[in-house]
Amino acid sequence: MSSIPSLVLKDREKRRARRRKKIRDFFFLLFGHRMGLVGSIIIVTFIAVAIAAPVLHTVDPKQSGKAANILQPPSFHFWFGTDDLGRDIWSQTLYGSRISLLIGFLSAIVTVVTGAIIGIIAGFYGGVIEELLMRIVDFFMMIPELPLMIVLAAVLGPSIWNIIFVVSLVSWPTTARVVRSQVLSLKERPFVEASRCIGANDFLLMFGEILPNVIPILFAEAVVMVTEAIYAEAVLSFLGLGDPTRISWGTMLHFAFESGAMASAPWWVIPPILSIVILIIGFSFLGTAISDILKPGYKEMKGF
Amino acid sequence: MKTLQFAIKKTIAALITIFAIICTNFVIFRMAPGDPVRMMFRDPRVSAAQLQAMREKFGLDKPLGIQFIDYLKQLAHGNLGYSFWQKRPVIDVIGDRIGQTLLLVVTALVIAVVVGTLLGALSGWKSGSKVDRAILSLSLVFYSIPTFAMGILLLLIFGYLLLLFPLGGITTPASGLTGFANIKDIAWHMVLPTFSIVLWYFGEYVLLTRGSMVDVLDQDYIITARSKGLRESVILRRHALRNALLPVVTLTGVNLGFAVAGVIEAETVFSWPGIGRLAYDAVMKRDYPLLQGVFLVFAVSVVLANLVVDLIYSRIDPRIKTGVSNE
Amino acid sequence: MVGMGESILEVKNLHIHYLTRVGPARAVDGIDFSIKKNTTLGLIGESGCGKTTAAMSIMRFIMPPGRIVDGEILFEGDDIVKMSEERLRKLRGKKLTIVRQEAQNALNPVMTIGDQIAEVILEHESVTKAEAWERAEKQLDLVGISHKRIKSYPHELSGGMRQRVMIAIATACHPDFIILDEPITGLDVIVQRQLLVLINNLREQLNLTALFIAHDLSVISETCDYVVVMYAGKVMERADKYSLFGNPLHPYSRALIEAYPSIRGDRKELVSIPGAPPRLIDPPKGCRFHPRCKYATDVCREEEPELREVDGHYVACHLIE
Repeated sequence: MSSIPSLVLKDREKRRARRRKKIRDFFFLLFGHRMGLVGSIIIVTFIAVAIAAPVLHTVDPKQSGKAANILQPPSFHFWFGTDDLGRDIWSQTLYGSRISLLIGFLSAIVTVVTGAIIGIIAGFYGGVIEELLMRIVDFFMMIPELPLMIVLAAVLGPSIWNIIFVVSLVSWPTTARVVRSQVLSLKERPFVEASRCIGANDFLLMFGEILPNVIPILFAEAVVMVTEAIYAEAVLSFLGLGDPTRISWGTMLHFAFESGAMASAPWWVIPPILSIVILIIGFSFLGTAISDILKPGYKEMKGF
Repeated sequence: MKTLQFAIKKTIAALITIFAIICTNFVIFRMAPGDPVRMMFRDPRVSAAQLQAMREKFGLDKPLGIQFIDYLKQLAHGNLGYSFWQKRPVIDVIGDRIGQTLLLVVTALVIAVVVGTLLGALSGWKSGSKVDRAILSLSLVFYSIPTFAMGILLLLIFGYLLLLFPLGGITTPASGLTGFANIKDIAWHMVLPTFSIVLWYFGEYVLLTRGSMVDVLDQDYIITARSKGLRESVILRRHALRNALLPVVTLTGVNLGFAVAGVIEAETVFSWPGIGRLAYDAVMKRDYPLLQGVFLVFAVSVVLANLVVDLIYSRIDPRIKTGVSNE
Repeated sequence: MVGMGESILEVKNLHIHYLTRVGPARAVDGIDFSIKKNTTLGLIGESGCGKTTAAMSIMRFIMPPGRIVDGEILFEGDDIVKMSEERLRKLRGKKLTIVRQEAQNALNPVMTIGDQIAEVILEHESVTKAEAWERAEKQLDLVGISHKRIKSYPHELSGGMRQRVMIAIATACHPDFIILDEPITGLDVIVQRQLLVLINNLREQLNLTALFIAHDLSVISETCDYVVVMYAGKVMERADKYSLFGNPLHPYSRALIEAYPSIRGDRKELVSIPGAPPRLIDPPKGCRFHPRCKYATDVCREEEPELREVDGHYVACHLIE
């Protein structure tokens, strides 16, 4: 990590080249890490599936079928079988990936941005501001997450934007806390003082100097947040709080559960469950790999 | 008397948090878009006059500030509202079911904590070895399977497919069992839901304890212990574990929120008649007072449990017991 | 049993390497010395010269990526390098003990100091808990801590007191041999003096044989009988205290002693040794010290000097005959 204030380093080309090298090095380390590699493959596969859903699906997932097609086991026509309304499960599963990934990524972005801003402000200014913000953070961390999310989702109504809001609201405190402790240690470093000496104001210091150094840990947090968001969306949908117009894996499970047909139609249940589990495993592995890579000494150990 | 100071500080903090939770509870249910009374009675045949009468009955036409004071007064009397679905006071509904939830959650927690901590300590002690890697991978995989997903899988495999365990509920209906036979029946019904919770939760403790153990083993006092010529088992027990387990105790409190999530999911999947399942039913039936009551009970329980954990911790960590150094 | 005049510890041709990705770092590259009963050997040198590594190897505390690759460490005749773990464990704490540089966390924070002293006694001797506790009290008296503090926790003690507890622990089983690895470094000067006096008294009282490691020459001169000067993993000079300080032969020893300002006489400019110690992965050819030595000649740059006896000293230098 450079201790030269980035405001002073005028040579843009050098800066860009350094950044490119850092990113290249990071990917090398990531794919060299066993879990990192597996996780990345899983995630990329799911993203590819989500994007290719319109191409890969066989039947319109919202299309209710004829009475004769209710609860059919997997067949040539319906690759994963049908549900209690005759809808194609393969197609539902494909499109479900879109919801999970969309909500996962969007929630993570909102959470991380909010947490970062609050964490940086709290850590930078200290004093009363920090106390106040951290009390709010502590309060949120004390409340059990799922009950709070259930209550909020129930009150706000079923829609994916509400889900994103609810998940972010519950998750930003952890990020804020992590960012703040990072900022506390960065605050004392010479490069911050150096920037101050050349006249940088608070805003520039916070977001020009400190923020770039917080990015690695933000990235790690973001991955964890995606994992949490995917889980949260799945649970909330399973409990019936999801958006009924956008079928996600959790919603599929909710319908399966409510219909009482779980025993007789395991093909309805297995694809969404496996999808949820494998996607979460993918992000978990990625998260573990990133936290390993960020540990001091890891790069050296691998010969960089 | 440092312990007493600490205890008082923490108790006050807990009370403030509980108050904040009560306020939050109030605010959330008043900020629902739309008319709360409309939401409770979605039947369009209900006339406007009847709705207005309902509004007055529940005090929903009064200004917000007065509503809040009323709410506090009610709470002070132990009145958590009236459940529309069950047609009785919320507190009664919750009171009926809380025992079942406690049974499930305490059993699951104890098993998960013990197994997780032991495996985590082993993993940390043998950090880097095959045993360590195996335990880590296993924990990480199980940690990625949410309780409700695990519940459904266990239900399908062990319930439906292998017919080894019942498909839900706490007892076999209409069996009329009593005494010990009844207890066995309950235990049999408890197996799958407990495991759904345990299989996720223990991973948390493996990771926690392992991390703590690895940190402790890096410390100087472990070298000092070795230089005394102590046996490995003694070093592990008296020096490594005793220090490694301290942060695990603190983090138990923080993790109780996950235990709550686990029990809500497990009770829903297995129709276990506890307050977790009540949350699901309340959502499905749009019984907002009940949902409010359940949320309050869960949130306050977690705060109180955290307080208990903090107080226990202050007794076992000498640095808190005797206060900071007198240099 | 080791009789008077015999060596308790003999280090022969010790080589310790730290394996890195770019090759082995030769932290200790062939050193020899021995310590006679009831004497104190001082080991001095700059940071990184290998003295702590050597000390830790006597207790066999070298962890991967470090490894003892060659040599013998004979403790009372038995080779520590080849000993079984179980036998070594029985020696540690009982006959072979160590006091290391003061660390915040060298004592277990959740055990009382009384327990931590009694622990080593209970491990090696068959006494009752009450007897061990009594002995612990006596140990505290010995090191100058009121035995009313026996139930205190480490965080309640100052740095100097904690170091005294370490000494109490190390001497609890009346060991034959004690390693003192920079035991007073890092403490404030008054505490340093107190501890030094304590250590010297204990050496006499308990008839200890000791290895004292420091980088402060004055401390070495006060406590040791015999001195070994190390540089870059090798021994540069070995002599008894008076010979070394009176007439240092090796240019490095001379430079070290000259760098130490005298409180008497005229004020002179401080002398230091230019340059820095070499990287141990790729040490200089020939004499390790030649890049910084003002007397270096061609042979110094080519051939490694052997340790030779000259005038009662053992010196590794081509220029000393």
